[in-house]
Amino acid sequence: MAPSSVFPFMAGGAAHGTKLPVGAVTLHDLTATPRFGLKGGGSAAWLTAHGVSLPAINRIGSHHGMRILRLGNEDILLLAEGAGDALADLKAAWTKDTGPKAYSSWREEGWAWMRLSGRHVPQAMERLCALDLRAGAFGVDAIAQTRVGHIEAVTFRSQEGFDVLFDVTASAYFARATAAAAMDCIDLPIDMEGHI
Amino acid sequence: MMAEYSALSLLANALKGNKDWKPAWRKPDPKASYDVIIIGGGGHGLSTAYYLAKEHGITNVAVLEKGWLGSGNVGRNTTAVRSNYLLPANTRFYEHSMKLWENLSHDLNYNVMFSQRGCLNLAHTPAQFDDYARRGNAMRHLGVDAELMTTAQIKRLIPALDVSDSARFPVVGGLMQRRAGTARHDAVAWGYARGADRRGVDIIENCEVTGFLRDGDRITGVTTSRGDIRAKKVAVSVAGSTGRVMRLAGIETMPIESHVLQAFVTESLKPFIDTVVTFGMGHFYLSQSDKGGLVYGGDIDGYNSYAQRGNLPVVDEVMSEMLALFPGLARVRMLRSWGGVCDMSMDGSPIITTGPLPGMYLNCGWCYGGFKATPASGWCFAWTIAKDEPHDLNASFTLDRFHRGLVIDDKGQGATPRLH
Amino acid sequence: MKILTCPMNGPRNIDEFQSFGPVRAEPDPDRTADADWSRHLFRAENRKGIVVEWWRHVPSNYFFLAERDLVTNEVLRTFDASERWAHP
Repeated sequence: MAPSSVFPFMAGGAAHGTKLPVGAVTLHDLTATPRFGLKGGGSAAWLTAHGVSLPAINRIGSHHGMRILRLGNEDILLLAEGAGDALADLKAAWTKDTGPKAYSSWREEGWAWMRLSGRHVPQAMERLCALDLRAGAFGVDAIAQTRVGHIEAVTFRSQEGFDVLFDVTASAYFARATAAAAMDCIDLPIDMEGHI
Repeated sequence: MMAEYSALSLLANALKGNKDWKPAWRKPDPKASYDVIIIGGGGHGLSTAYYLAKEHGITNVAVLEKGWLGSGNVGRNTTAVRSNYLLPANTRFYEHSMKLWENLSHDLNYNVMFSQRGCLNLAHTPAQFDDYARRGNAMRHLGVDAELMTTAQIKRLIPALDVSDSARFPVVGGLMQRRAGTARHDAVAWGYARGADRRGVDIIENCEVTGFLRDGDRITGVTTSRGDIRAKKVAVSVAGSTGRVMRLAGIETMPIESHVLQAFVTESLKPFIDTVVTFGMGHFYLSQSDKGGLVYGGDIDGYNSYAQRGNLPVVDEVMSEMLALFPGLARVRMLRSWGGVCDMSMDGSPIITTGPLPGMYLNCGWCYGGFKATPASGWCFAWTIAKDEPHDLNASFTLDRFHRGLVIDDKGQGATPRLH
Repeated sequence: MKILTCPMNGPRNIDEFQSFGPVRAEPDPDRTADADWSRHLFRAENRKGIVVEWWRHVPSNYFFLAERDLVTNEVLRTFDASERWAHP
């Protein structure tokens, strides 16, 4: 099975049949994109020892084209959009390491990764999230661990809008919540065929 | 004794312009001493006084209430009455309560509007349905009525309920207790108050207990905002404030935490639902009052609190749960919400016991299920006070059961009060 | 109490948090008498007043401490758990 068909909209899965909004607010499913999470005592030390310079908590750094998300003192997530090789190398090194190396937080299986884009994304995010996510208050390297569409989520800026990470089992719910927020904030019809 | 309230007395008083009704209870000043003092003029304290007088002939009794009669949880609950428990100690006790409820209006000569409209617990998974079968069988084994209902039967009983496959948590069946129902909670307090008052009990409102009088270890009375009052026996029935009152007696810790439970009522609707229904995938229960308002509630607020008001996340959660079951209520307006402080015990079950000090008797730990227990709680507590030993029905509800490994944990949650 | 300030994430809606109850003593089970151990398990002080309690910011799974008045629900301060042991 191709990796892109594994998460979360696999046939027969909980989110099967859910369509993603397209238009003034568009939702992209990046769940199958490689990522690697470490958690627990020793996470920061292991990554630092492997040349990763860690950002402050709730900030985003970078390393060999990967984005480094510091979700906690010892809770770090690496996202590899177009840097799959670098991530695979690091992951292989971690797997082989027999010394202290913290724990895999299994973010690749547990979390959905959705990207909101389109010209009405700021308005839609205002309805989905209680935080002030305007550019002046929430920069490109900032992370918000909060609730988006009433579910626990991690959100940060992307070139096109916002990326949101959340429990993969809530994928269908999140797609509908986003579509509902999009409908609520625009007069223009977006492509909503079968979305709600 | 001729009934004070009857069709005849109603007519006679109507013809005389309703000027001759006696107040339902007197407003006596406290005497210097009593045989029994009951601290707390809520449902349980008042029913204790009533059964002390009626069943045991002990009438030299004072009920001391800090505020006005029934200002606490007896007037703040969602009025459901049921006896659908799993564990024998709870089932027997609540079934005794149910039997007292079934004759209560007659017994008190006061219409408590007990309405046996049934209580339906919804199951949303096959495993939950199996669990209900187990509980229903346990109930029937002890002579309590219980029946499993299919989704089709439930749909006929409650047409407004979303039993479709597309419901957020589809309904797969339910456990019904037909004899369960609701009662008018203020009437319960007033009826017990009048019944006790007419038998000679002094109900003393606006009388806050500020300390205990002692002779060594023995409790010999109380100090109050209206002076010292002595008594041979002092009974504490102050669920919601148990920790605070027991601390006045030097008991620093109890197997209890105080938490807030909220309740809600909507604007009046036409007849919508003629049973009590509970959600199985969250904590939610709903019935319709005789005035037409939907009365409903959910879980406790989630953190220790002595504030008699609730927080917003629970409001949000309760409304979501209501709409998951009844999508058609989305546009109904909520009229009021309120909160009450509950004694959350370590195993979810109450305490009715002698002690813990000589001359003292304790009734507490009702979690958020105390209303339905009101008759049996008073009945058992009165027995315990009168005879200095528990009745079989409350023999398990001891204070030391936690230390002896004899907890009564109906929900199987362990010693975390907020989870019961 | 509609907003709680998380020491790690800043001020957030109260619905992002979960309470874990008052901070309690941590007796050593191997060196505690049975009566004291059952008291530890089953008894609570349940004081009406200000308590220090554990809270969790759910989206980040971060545990911290808060001082709260149980009567007014006013939160006096929130702080990282390391502060409690750093300045006893």
